[in-house]
Amino acid sequence: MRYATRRGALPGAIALVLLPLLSQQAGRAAPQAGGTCEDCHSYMSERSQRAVKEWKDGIHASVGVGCADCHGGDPKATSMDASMSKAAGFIGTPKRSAIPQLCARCHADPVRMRPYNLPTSQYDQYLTSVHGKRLRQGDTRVAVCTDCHGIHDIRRKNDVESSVYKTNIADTCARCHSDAKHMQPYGIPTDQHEQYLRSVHGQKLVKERDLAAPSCADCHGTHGATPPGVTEVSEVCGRCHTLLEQLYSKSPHRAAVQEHGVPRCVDCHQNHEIAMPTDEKLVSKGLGGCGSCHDEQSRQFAVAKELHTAITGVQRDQDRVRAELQRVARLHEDIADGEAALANADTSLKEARANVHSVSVKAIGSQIENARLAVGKARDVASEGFQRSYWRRTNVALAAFVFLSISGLLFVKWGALHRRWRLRLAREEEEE
Amino acid sequence: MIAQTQAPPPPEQAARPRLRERVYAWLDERTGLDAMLKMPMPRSAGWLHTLGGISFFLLLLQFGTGILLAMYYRPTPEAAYDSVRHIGNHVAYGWLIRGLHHWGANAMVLLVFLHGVRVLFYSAYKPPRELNWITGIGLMGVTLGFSFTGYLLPWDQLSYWATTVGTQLTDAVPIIGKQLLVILRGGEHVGGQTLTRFFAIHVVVLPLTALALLGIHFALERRLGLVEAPWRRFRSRGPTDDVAAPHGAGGEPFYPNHVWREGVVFCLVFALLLALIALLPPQLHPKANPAETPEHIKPEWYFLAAYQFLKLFPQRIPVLAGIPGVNLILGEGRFFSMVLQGLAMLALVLLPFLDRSPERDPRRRPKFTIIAVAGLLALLALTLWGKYS
Repeated sequence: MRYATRRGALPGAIALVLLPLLSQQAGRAAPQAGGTCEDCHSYMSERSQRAVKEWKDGIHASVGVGCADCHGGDPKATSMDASMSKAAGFIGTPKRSAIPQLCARCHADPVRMRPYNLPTSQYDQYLTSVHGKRLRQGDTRVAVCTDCHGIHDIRRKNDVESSVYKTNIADTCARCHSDAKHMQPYGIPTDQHEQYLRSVHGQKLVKERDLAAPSCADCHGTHGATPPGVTEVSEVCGRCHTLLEQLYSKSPHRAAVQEHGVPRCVDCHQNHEIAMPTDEKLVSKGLGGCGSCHDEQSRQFAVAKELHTAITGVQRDQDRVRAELQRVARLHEDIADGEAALANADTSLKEARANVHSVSVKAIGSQIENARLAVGKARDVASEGFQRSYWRRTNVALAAFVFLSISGLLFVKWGALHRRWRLRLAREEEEE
Repeated sequence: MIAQTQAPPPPEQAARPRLRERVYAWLDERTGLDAMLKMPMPRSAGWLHTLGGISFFLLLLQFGTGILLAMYYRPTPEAAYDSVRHIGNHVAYGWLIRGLHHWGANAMVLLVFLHGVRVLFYSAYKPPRELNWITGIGLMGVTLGFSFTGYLLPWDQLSYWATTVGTQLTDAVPIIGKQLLVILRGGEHVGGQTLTRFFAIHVVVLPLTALALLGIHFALERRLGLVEAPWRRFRSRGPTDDVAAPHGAGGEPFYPNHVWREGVVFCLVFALLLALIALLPPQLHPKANPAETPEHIKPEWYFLAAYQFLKLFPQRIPVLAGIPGVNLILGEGRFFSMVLQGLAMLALVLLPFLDRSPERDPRRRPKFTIIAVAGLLALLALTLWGKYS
C-alpha cells in the first residue's frame, strides 16, 4: 500500500521533499545509507528510535553502511511494503547463527575493507575459536560478533565508548562469563572477572587506565578466543614479559615443565588473579612460593632463602638511605646524585628479581652486588650532604655573627658622632 | 743646647698637607666631592632615610654576585639547570654567591618598596621632586623586572611553570594578546628562546636601565636635597606646606654621620642575608619538564597580591560581557583586572600631578592618608590571601 494512495498525493510529495531536508538538518550521517528506513524508524517506537540513534552514533553510518546492508530490503523505496519486501531481500532481524557470516560478507572482503585498512581474517579466526566451533555445532548461546561489538552502536575499537575499547573489554567478556546461569552448561568458573579486577593487570588497566596492561583478549585472543594450552602459557605471558620469558626458557624450570608439567607461569603467579610478586615468594610455602614445590631441607630452598636475605637486605638499606636523602633534601642540599644512584640500585634490584626466573645464582648475585654498590654511593651522597650542610650553616652563621658585631661597633661609632653633633647643635642654639 | 742647635722647620714645609689630603683636595677641585659629602641632612633624617641607600648597596651586591654567577651560568634549556647545580655544588663558594644573589634580590624588593612608602608618607613626591618620584617608581619596576626575569634562569619546575603562568597573562590582552605572548616568550611556549631573551634582559637591559634611572635619581637628589619631615616638631624649620623649601640647616652631615648610619644598617642587612642563607639556602627543584605541570603554581611573595587580584575576577565578567563592544575588550576577567592594576600603577606614577595640595603632614590630609593606608593594607591582605589560598 502506497502512502500516496492511502493518504493522498500531496502529503506524500511533501514528505518526499521535506524528509531528506530534515535528515540533513539533523546533522551528520549519510541519508543515502539510512534511506527511507531512517525516515520512518526515526519517528516510530522508542526501540526503533534508539536503534536509529545508535546506528547514527556508530561507525557504520559515518562510512555509508546502512540498514539494508545488514537487514536487506530497499532503502530507496518510499512505501513500507516495497522497502521491506522479501523480493527486495529483506530479512528482518538476522538469526544469531547467521550473524558471523553476515558480518563476514563485508569484513572478510579485502576489496571492501581496503579503504579502512582493516584486517579480513576475523571470520576465519572466529571459526577456530571456542565460540565459533560451538556455534557451528548449533550452540547459539555462544558469543557472536554483535555480543562483543554491539548491534547498532558499533564503534571503532579505539573509541573510548566502544564495548571493545581496551579498558571496556573485561566488562564486555564478563557480560557472559560472569553470568553463572549462562555459563552453567559449560561448567566453567564465573569469577574470572572479579579475580582480574583484583589482579595487577586489572588494577593497572581498569583503575589506572594504563593501556599497556593486558585485558582478557591480550591473553585469550580476540576473534580466535581460546584458552592458552599448557605449553603456550609462557609464550602468552612472554609476549609482553619478553625478558622474563627468555630467562625462564633457559632455566631448569623450563626443562621441568617438559618433564612434569610444572612450574609454568601460572603455577607461581596464578592466571586471572595475578598479584604483584613480592620477595617473600622466595621463602613462602604458600601457593606460588618456592617452598610450595621445594622441600625446606632441600638445597634449592636454601639457595632461595639466601637470595631472599640478600635482596631484602639491600632493599632495607636502600629504604634507609632514601629516608636519609630526604632528610638532607629538607636541609635544602642537592641530592640529585644520590637519587640517581638509588635509581641505579632500583634497576639492579629489578634485574636481580627478574633473574629469579633464570634461577641463576651467579647472575642474581652480580645484580645484588651492583645494587649494593649503588646504595653505598647514595649513602655517601647523603653523608656528604649532612657534612656540607653543617659546614655551610656553621660558617655562614659565624659570618653573620661577625657582621652583626661589626654593625654593633659601627653603631657605637655612629652614637659618638651623633652625640658630638647634638652637642654642637645645642651650643649653636645657645649662642643664637 | 740641642734645641738651640736644631733649626726649626720652614713654615711652608710644616703646613704641607699629607698625601691623603692632597688627593682629596685634587678630587674635590674637580668633582665638588667635599660639598657633596658634607651636605647637611634634614633634621628629621634618621634610620628610615637609610632605606634608599641600602637598596643601592643591595643593587651593587646583586651586580657583584650576578657577574660571578654569569661566569658559570649557561642560558640554554639543556645546560641551565645543570650549570646552577654546578654553581651550588662544585664552584668554590658558589652556594654562598647564589644564596646572596637569591636573598639579596628578595631583600632589595622589600627595601625598595619600604623606601617608596617612606617617600609617600613624607610627601617627598611633591614639587619640585616629581621626577625623583617617577624615576623611583621606574626603579621599583626595574627591581620587579629583575626578579621576574631572574626567576626563570635556574630552569627548574617551579621557575618554568611560574614563568609560563606569568607570561600567559599577556594572552588576555584583546586583539594583540597572542602576538605579545609570542614576543615575550620568543615562541608559543616557554622554551629556549624565552630563556635566552630573559637572560639578555636580566643581565643587559635591566642593569643599564637601572643605572640610567639611578643616575637621574641621585643627581636630582643631590640637586634638590632631602625633604624635611612634615611632622609638627620639625615645623619650626618651616611650614609643612612649604614643599619647595630645602631641607633645614642643622641636620647631621651626610659624612661621616649618615654614612656611618648606613654602614650600621648595611652590616645588619648583610648579617640577616647570611642568616637566611644558613637557615634557608635557595632551593633547586627538579629540572623543568614542559610535559608535567606541578599541582600548585604560585608566584614569589612580591607578585602574590597581583596574582590574587587576578583570581578575584571570573573568566567572563557578566555585567561587562553583556555590553556590546565593551564585552570584547573588558569582558575577559583577567584583562579587566590587568587594566585595573595598570590604572592603579598609572595613578601612582602620576601621583605628584594628581595630588596638588601643598599640605604635607599626613595628619592634616586625612583623605590621602586613608587611601594610602587602605591601599597598603589591601596589598598586605591580598599577599596573605594569595599565600594561604
